[in-house]
Amino acid sequence: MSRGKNKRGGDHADDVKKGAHEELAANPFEKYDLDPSEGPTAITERLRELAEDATCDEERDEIRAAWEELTMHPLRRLRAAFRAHPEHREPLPRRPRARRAARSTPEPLALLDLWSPPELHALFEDDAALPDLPLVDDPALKP
Amino acid sequence: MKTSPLLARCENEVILGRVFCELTYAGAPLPHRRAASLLDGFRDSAEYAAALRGDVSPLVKRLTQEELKDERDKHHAALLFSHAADCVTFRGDLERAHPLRVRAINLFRSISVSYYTGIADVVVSGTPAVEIKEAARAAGLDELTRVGREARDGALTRSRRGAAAMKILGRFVGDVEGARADEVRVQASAEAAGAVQVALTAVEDGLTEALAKAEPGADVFVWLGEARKVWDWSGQHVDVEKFMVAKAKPICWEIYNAKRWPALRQMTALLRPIVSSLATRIEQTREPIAYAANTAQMLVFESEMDARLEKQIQIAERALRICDTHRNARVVLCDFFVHRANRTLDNASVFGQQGARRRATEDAERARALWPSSKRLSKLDQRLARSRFFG
Repeated sequence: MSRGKNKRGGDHADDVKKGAHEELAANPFEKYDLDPSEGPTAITERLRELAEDATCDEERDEIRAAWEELTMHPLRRLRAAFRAHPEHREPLPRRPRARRAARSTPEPLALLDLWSPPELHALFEDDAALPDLPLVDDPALKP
Repeated sequence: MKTSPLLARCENEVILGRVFCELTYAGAPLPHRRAASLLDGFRDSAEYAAALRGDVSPLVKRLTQEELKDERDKHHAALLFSHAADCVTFRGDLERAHPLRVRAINLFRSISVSYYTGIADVVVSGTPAVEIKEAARAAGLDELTRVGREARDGALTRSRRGAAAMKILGRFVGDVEGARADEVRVQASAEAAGAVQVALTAVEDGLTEALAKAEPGADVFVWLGEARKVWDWSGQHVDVEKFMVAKAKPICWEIYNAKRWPALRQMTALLRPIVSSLATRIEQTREPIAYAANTAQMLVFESEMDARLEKQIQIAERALRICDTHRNARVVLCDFFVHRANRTLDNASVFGQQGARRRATEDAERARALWPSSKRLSKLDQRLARSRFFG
């Protein structure tokens, strides 16, 4: 089945030489995955997004032409809707959102939080005093 | 256990993809995934279960033949078959596209106008109801309009696709049953006539130019040959027959008056199937009755150019069947009967005189019924009288 904003065509259609089916004029509602029941505002919004993502002027012009076709004259939009598969699928249930951890209110920093222990401070003052140990055995890093 | 909506959707999309490939070819650009909801009503069927196991043929057969009840299913199916026909046509497999297109046309016309106006209520607002109703009415015949456009596009070059489109239109010109049959017939006729008109434009121009010369030459035959090709291309459309008969009759008269018999023979041979087809239409339906006289005259030319007397009589009798008041047909057929009577008397053996005289008398009576003032008939009467006296 066609994929989102892509032109008509599915997985195995990729095998067909690119552009070989350009002659088959696609309905703008289907070409840009628009629901005919949505009004001009929604169509404009969706096509604007696509135009912003377009990579070349040719593609942008195509989107503009489709936008004009679907929004400038209601009867042309209606005729295009008659030639587009209507949305009759059973709506999918909303996917439950991942439960986020309860957000606790951060406590304001106290002076103690900014204080570093003197022994740790001393370690960084003198490089030579650093123990020659693996990190896991470093007592300064022990909890 | 009820299948989840998401799984049902996925299954429908996969199955419809396979169905579409079965209808068209592997790699065909699939219809929009919304089309898959067509299969919602088939999910509990044995055909769907078979499709899930990998065999989509029963489901394809059912979709191709079953009369769908639900308006939404009809809409999805109509678009599906239309798209399938487009794909197959694009690949050049026109024979295979024919039933798909016919199915699409039949499905589209079976959708009620109220269903379309229901879509209009959702899609547009503020448009006058009259315009919406007109658009809804036209939507059911839109597929025919598309076929007509294809026919016109291919008319000048007489393309294969154009010929295939003409064949589809021809399917709906004759006896049509079911929903909106009259509208479909009128629309298909108009579309086909429009395409024929386009195809004949170049022929008419060429013929006019060729006829502007002193006497009909080889180029006239070339252009009439082109018209004959249009006739073949159009699936023997009646308008081409009318055009050819109307154009050819004065040319034939010119050739006839110049006594260019080989040229007239060539002309009648070229036109024979066209004239015969038009004559059959008039015999069967009396439909193009305005062309009866012209067609009868063309048959008279043909009968005069044939070398076999029995065949000549047969053709001239046909001319009279389609136009029983046609003067030339009556005169010519009268002459043929007189000729046959004379021949019968000439070839009679000594012991067969009586039978020959009886047959000759019958022919003379037929000739008299057709053209009583014929001089040849008078001479035949005299000969018959003499033979009775001496016989």
